[in-house]
Amino acid sequence: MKNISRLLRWCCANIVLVLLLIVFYIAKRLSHEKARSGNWVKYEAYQAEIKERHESFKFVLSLMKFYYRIAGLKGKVRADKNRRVSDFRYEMF
Amino acid sequence: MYILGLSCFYHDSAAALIFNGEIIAAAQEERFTRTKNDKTFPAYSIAYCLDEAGISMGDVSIIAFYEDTAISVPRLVKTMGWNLMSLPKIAFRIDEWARYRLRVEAIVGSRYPDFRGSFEVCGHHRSHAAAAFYPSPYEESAILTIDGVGDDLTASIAQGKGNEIEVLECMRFPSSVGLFYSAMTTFLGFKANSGEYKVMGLAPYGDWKRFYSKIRRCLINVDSNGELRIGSRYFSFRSDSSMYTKELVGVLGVAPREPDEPINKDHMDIAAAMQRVTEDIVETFAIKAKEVTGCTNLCMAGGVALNCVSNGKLQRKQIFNKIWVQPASGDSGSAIGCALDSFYRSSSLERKVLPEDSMKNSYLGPRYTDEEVHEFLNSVGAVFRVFEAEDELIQEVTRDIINGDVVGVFRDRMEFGPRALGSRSIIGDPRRQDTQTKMNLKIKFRESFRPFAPFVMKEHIDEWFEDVKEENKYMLFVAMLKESKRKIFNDDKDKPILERLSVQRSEVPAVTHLDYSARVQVVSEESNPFIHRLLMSFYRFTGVPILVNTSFNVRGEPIVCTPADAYQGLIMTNMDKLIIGKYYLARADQALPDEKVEELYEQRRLID
Repeated sequence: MKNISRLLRWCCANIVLVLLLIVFYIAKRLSHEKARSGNWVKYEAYQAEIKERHESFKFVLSLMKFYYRIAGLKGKVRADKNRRVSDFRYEMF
Repeated sequence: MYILGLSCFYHDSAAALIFNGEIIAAAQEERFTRTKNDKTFPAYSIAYCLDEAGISMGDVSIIAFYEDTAISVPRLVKTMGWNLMSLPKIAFRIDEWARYRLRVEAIVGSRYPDFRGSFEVCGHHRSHAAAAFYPSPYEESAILTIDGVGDDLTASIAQGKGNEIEVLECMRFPSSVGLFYSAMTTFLGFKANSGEYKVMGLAPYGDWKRFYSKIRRCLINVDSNGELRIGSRYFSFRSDSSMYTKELVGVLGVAPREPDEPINKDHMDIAAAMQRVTEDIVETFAIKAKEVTGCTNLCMAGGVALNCVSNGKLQRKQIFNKIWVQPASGDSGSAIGCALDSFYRSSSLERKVLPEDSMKNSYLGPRYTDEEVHEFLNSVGAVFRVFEAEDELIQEVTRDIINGDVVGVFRDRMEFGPRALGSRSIIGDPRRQDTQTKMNLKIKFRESFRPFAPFVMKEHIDEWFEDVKEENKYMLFVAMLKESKRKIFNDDKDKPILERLSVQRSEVPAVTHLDYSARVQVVSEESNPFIHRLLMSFYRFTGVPILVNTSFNVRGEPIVCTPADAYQGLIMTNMDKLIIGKYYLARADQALPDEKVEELYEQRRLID
């Protein structure tokens, strides 16, 4: 039961997130899309745009945090944090 | 001040540790997990770096990350194929970002509760630029970074001076020479992000003129100002399934190659043309970098900087007096870059510019003591000889190589970056016609057309190769064999590859490509004493100061990291001998694996 509930929460969270991101994407596309070419641009100008983008990205980040909370997930990494190099040197044999 | 640099969650995860601007350790995660191009959190690499320095995470002041996910993730969101069919894929991608890519700081915090320092983010191309400039031997230099895409950029021009890097201009996605090369690599039936060097090796077999103008007219073009135009209808950089569209097939008039399909003349000609176009673009970018910065030296990084054919041509054009390329130019090297950038932004300590560079010859990975190796060899019942005197070992190895043996070398610290530079290498006799085929087909189980790189003694480099600079110690520049060493042959481009390969092209056929080029690694007593002495010994017996060098791995696997990996390489392939430190093993003396193990191993090879 616990697993089913977790799976359902994961699915719901993903659906909500995808929908919100689609809205976000369309809004951004309508308001901000500029003709892009391969031209070199000044890095200063690029940074100014990035600063603006950082602000709008805070919205996405808060969505992600929301998603993370309702999905109740944790990032998984393989290695045991207390394991040191010497422990896995010869594990193949 | 210890700073840990991290690069992960895209491809080639890595960690690097620096102390007051000095690189202490660096390693790619794939070497420990044995998954090629592993992109997962570099837990093993971090553990190794801390182990090497003898510190814990509590001693680390800053953890630096190699890209700004606030820029890259919106770009990925925007460029994904937004349609109903791709929604499940998008959901999984977003889930992956939510768990990992956007949570790097949180992952670090939860995994390393004793870390009390700060977490910093460095731009992707700034990380590349820092990896190129800070370890370089130049006080002042232009910096050119070119890759597929990182953050929202595909290339950048910066200027480095002392402790400072100023990024001046950048090129926006989707105009990307790196993505063009990767897309064409997949068209030719190889994997993106790992098969590009195979295409580079295939190029000399083809006729570049056949597809050159078509590629420049329709697919990608650059004008004299470095302005890049990419034919977006032919590429699909936003899709996960394919990097090119059906229109590309139409315009080239050639069907895409399936991975197992034999390579034919069309494929070779396409490889030759796209390589030539890439060289032209890189040259134009370099000219632009010189105009923008006014510098006489150039530092390069980014995946495209691993194109040693292009680098070699750039060097011969002499647009810059000197060129230095970061040996770990791909994303793994960015772990060093972001750590160094973080350090020089927060410290007033003056940067030390070493004449030979600060990469420690790229030997930044794990090493194993004689006791550890001995214990391991005994634990697996290996049969070995011990050579307390290095000279005796070198003599024995020289004799074996001259007799046609192929020898694995596992010594000292592992290399950081994609090239094996003598610590985790397989070596052989370059004079023998059959060395290339034997190494490719019986040991590395890879495509027979791929050439091998030579170790060349620094003292004799000018006798054998044209215009080789000392900087060529990382195998990042292709050089041409001297005419006096060449053998004239008639290369019939319509013949099958294997027939063309069997022609004796020079005195050292195993390391001479069809166009007489070679990916030279200059070896000096300072850069690798053991390999240098081995070269000296081989030269004394044969008059040839060259050995074949290829990375110690088999197709589809990362380069070996531990003595266990090396020993497995010996018994599971047709390698004849293996050096592990002062221990020397012959395959013939070992208890060979039972059929089941061999079968499993064969399956792993086929998967690739």
